[in-house]
Amino acid sequence: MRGYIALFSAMTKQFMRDRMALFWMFAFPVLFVLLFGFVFGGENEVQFRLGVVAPEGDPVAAGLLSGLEQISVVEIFRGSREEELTALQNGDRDGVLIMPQGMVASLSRGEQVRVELYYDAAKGNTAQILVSVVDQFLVEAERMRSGAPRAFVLVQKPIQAREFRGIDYMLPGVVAMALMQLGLFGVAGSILQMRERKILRRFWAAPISRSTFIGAQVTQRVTIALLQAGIITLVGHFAFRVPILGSAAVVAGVVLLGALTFVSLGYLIASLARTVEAGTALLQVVNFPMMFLSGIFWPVEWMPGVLKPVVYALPLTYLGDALRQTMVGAAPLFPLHVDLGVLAAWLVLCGLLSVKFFKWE
Amino acid sequence: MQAVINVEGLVKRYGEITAVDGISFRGFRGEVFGFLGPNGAGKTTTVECLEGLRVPDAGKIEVLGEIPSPTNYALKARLGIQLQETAYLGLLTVEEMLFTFARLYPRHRDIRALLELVALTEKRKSYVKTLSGGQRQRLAVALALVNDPELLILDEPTAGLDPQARRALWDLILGLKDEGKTVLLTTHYMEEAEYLCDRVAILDHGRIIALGAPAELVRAHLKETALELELEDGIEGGLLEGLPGVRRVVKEESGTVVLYSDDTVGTFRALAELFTAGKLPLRDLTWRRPSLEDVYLLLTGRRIRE
Repeated sequence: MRGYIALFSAMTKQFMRDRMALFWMFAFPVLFVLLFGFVFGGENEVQFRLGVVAPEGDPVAAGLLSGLEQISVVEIFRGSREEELTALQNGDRDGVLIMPQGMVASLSRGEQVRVELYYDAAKGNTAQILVSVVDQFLVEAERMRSGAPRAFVLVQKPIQAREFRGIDYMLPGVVAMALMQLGLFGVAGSILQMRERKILRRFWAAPISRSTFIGAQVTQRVTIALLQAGIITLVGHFAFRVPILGSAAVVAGVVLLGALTFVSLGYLIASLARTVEAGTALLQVVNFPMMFLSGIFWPVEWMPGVLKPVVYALPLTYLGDALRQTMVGAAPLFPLHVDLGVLAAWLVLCGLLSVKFFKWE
Repeated sequence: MQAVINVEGLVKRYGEITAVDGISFRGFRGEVFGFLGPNGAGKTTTVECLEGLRVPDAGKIEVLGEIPSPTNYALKARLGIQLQETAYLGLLTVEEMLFTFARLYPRHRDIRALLELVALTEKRKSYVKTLSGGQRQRLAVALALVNDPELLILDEPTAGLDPQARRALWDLILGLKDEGKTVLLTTHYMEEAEYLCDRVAILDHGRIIALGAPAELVRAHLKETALELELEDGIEGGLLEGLPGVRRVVKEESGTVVLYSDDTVGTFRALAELFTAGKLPLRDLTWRRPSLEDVYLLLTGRRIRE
């Protein structure tokens, strides 16, 4: 036990004084959160900029205008026909609505009033939504004029209690990424270095068992993992109001399992690589696909079908999913017990292979 | 005398290469025992088998009455080990490093006294990675002493040190001997083996080719004086062999020719005659008493540092 404590404390000092390690393990993920937070932290509100060209002193035009101003998703700009069409050309408007002269007279004669809507056909979705919003508005205006009652009323009932933002999705992903990199670089990288510089050998000449050494290293790294997850979560929560819905104990449990899984993957990589160079290459081969294919930054559905088998083979996919479910209550990709089961299976597999292949020198 | 190390027929192979090829020797309590040989002679492999870091392929080893093995922690607790070219956790201070290792052993020496002993008191708060080569080597020796071991095994303790630092470490080792410690060390410095060791085993290609006290070894193998000749160019074969008093001629790869003579004056006179007659293109001539270096040269045909 004295040996374990001595090793744990020596490893902690070595880690906490290593500026590079601190940067990669703490500053880097926090920078990720800050970056994502500023880019994807806004509300998902859609605003259409609609230019309106209406004749002055026309009571119908005035009525339509005040009606348009009621629509929350539309921002109204007034101007002459030339000004507004130029603005549309320049991309400063999403559409321009042009009302003709003498609408009062036309309506009283029972003639159709032709209202023109110019839009940029290149902006597919935006243009379509704008067209239907304006069309809807005109139908409603006509119904009110005729005084006919509405037979059907649409009552909007969103099932998600709140809006789900990009940062809400990504925060658990950054935690997952940090745990993975702790296992890969913090464990495999450090073992490879200690082996190359014969530090492991010197410890091995002392009367301590390998299990004491490994136990101290695993628990020390897992402690760092819990600290990392805590810091990242707090930054997301306080800087970008990411709501943490799950209980701390459940989230900590998932973090613990994830950390152990990736620490054991780190040991496996250190077991398979003979030199620091080979190890570093192997680490990147594992790191990159996990970063971009495991759905920690964007939904797995966005990825092409051919990559799906890879996606579902990566342990990080399951850790990310488990953390999203438990931290922010995101819709699950798999049931939680499947996520935890797959992680546990990876943990056992890497652990067994490491025991078989691990070399101290 | 009590044997604390007993090795019989030790063999260790790495794949096709036989690093240690049947070594037998005994080490006695209170002596400084040296393994002398060039790199690759099998010194490190031998001591690592004694330390329990490597498992031999054949042979018997007994150290302090125990059989070394990777899991013989009771034995490891009684050994003080300094490995060749080890690094340590660079971001720990010298003092923290010593305390860390102290806690890995059932008992330990006083850290302050130990720092004083290896002259690292001033450096105790410095990070290990900032130490110079000599300081690092002294830290390695301090770490080997931290558990107050009965037997110290030092692998090339003075490799890469400047003469002054080497001299300081020699005094340290002799001080430990005075404390009654048994020391086993490896070296490829002749003068180190002559100065420090009570007994020396000369290793070559995984075998012990000579074993004994340095002075005895020299006396047993060489009663002659050594004459070193530096020549401008080659000379006819057999010319030197036939000179009066010359018992042996060794031609080194560097070109230096060493004559071992039991009639120094006669050989000198003959050399002078040859030189005057223009038959000997001599550039330099030195005369000295034979040393371990000559024993090694005689036995292997090589100098130890090539």
